[in-house]
Amino acid sequence: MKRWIIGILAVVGIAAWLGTWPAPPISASRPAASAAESERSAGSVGSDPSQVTPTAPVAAAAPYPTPEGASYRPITPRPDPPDPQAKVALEAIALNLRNYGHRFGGNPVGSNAEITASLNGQNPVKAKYLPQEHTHLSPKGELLDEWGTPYFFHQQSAHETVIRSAGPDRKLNTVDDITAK
Amino acid sequence: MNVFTRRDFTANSLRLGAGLGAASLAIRDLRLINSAIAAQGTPTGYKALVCVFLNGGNDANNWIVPTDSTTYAQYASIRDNLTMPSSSLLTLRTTTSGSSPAYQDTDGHTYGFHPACSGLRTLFGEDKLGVVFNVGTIVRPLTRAQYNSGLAAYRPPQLFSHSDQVTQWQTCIPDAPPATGWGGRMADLLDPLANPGSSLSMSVSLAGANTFEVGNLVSQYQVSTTGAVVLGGDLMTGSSARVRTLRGLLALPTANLQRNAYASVSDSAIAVGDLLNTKIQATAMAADTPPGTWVWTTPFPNTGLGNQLKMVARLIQARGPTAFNMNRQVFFTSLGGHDTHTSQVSVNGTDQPTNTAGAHYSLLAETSAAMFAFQRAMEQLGVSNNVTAFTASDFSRTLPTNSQGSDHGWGSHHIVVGGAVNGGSTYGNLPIFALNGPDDTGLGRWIPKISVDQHAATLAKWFGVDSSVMNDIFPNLTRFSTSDLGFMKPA
Repeated sequence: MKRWIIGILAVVGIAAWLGTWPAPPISASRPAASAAESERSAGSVGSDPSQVTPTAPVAAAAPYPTPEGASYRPITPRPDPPDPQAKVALEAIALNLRNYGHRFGGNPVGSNAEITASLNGQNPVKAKYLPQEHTHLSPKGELLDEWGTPYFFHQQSAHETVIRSAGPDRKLNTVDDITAK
Repeated sequence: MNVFTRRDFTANSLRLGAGLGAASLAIRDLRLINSAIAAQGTPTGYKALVCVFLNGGNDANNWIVPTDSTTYAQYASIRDNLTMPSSSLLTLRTTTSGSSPAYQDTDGHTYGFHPACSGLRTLFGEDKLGVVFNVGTIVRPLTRAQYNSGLAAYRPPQLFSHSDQVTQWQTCIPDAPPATGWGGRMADLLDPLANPGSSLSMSVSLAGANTFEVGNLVSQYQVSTTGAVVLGGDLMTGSSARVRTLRGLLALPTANLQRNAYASVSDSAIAVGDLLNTKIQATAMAADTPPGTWVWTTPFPNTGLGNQLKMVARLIQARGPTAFNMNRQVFFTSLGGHDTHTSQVSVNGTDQPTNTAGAHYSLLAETSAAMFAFQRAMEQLGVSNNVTAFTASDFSRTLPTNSQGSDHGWGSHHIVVGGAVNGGSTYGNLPIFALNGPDDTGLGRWIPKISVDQHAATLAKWFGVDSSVMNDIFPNLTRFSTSDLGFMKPA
């Protein structure tokens, strides 16, 4: 029986080493790179970053199809795609927020500064959930986006928090905002 | 080879344990209900409670505003662009006369309602409306220092989260996973005693499924603003051929318990739906469909909440033995859109707190007009002393502006309306308007001084829940100094 189990483990180990095993979950220490890779590699072949095809700008996409027989209705153009680095940072924070929620039975709550403090070690096991490369804090302890504006955390439920970056115009709730949850 | 390993055994044991745990909780709940029913006296007369839930977290800071000069200055300095001009506020007075003295509470504060709430101001002057300050979901009484300690014993879980706070308001057990609502628990207790010959559920919702009316025995019945939702199509209502056939099929005996339960619920829904729509026909206004002759002396506004409360009024009108035969009823209504992080007072890009088109202005106007018309309808039906409406909400909002609106707060102010209310008065204390002051968690979120348990228990006592079983309905109530806040007249 034991030899049989060891054999299975050996096969699994070799398969993982050869890269045929599914990618491991994104770790709390390097979430940004992993999230970026997964986002950029959607639809591409292989995992070599040099082969990643950048996401095409939305404006260059094919026109919206018009159902046969339906009259054409112009659609408000979507804004330029947000800075990929900002989106990556936002998703890294969202991922770690979810990790926190899974561990403690619910996402951290409160203001930006309170949530940041919880993610940064003020929790029952003093665990740090913020990715260092995306942790820019204001003097008030608020987590800042890539343009230096505090993120807005909207708590919908115990396991759903919408994180909003004000985007390049530094004003919340405008068309260039980017969000993740 | 099929081997039952230690791991399998452990996993199965855990699953079995969880299942048994859930079953034992349900059995315990049913035992509690049965023992509570045995201890509960039979209620007399007719009474109804109507919950008006302000979804999204109503900004109570702009709903009821202190008008004494010192406190108003504190309010205005923190609210900034959200400040309601003092000249726009509707002063709460001791009577409806504009020359009567302004109402003053024991702290020396005077108050004004938001300018959209003229109806509510009138009801306050008529002693039919009470204001309860700083109510919220607290596990036990707490101070700012205890809040800041971060100990779970002092903070309800997932504070500031919409769905969690809605649930906690409606269960009145903030520190336990949601199972039943306090309206549902009251219905479980009172329905068998008060409504033995009824033809309608004691719990009726005009706003879809809700936690407030979830019980173990009584199921909430959902009604639209035009009546019960029934089967559509030709010959599918009343006693027509198709519906007779369908009900005949549903009545066929079967050994499958799940099929039996489904058939029973479906058959009951068809029967109750038809009955309800038949019985409320006489209460329809001339403009309603089908046309009726009834006229409300104060017309209900044609708004979402106005139409919900109009249907509640029609159902109450049909409460008698020739229709639904109800002695106790619980209704749930709601109005969404209160999550005013943005555009709270902004109209066409500029801050205009007194512009009637403003988001929060519109919401408060809808609430005031609908609740005023409902109170007048109850007076018309002669049941003003028997029906009490009350507001609830996820939470209030931060006193400081976020420049566009306000964010999630905690303790909130609420109103209670009806002839049985000790109206024309306020209950509890206005928080001290100081950021990082004794009533603030930080950021202008008020630490509640009155628990949702106390607020609800005061209503439940008036509704007929015996003091001997009050703790079964509100298990955390003993943690607080009083179970009766005094805003209801003795039953």
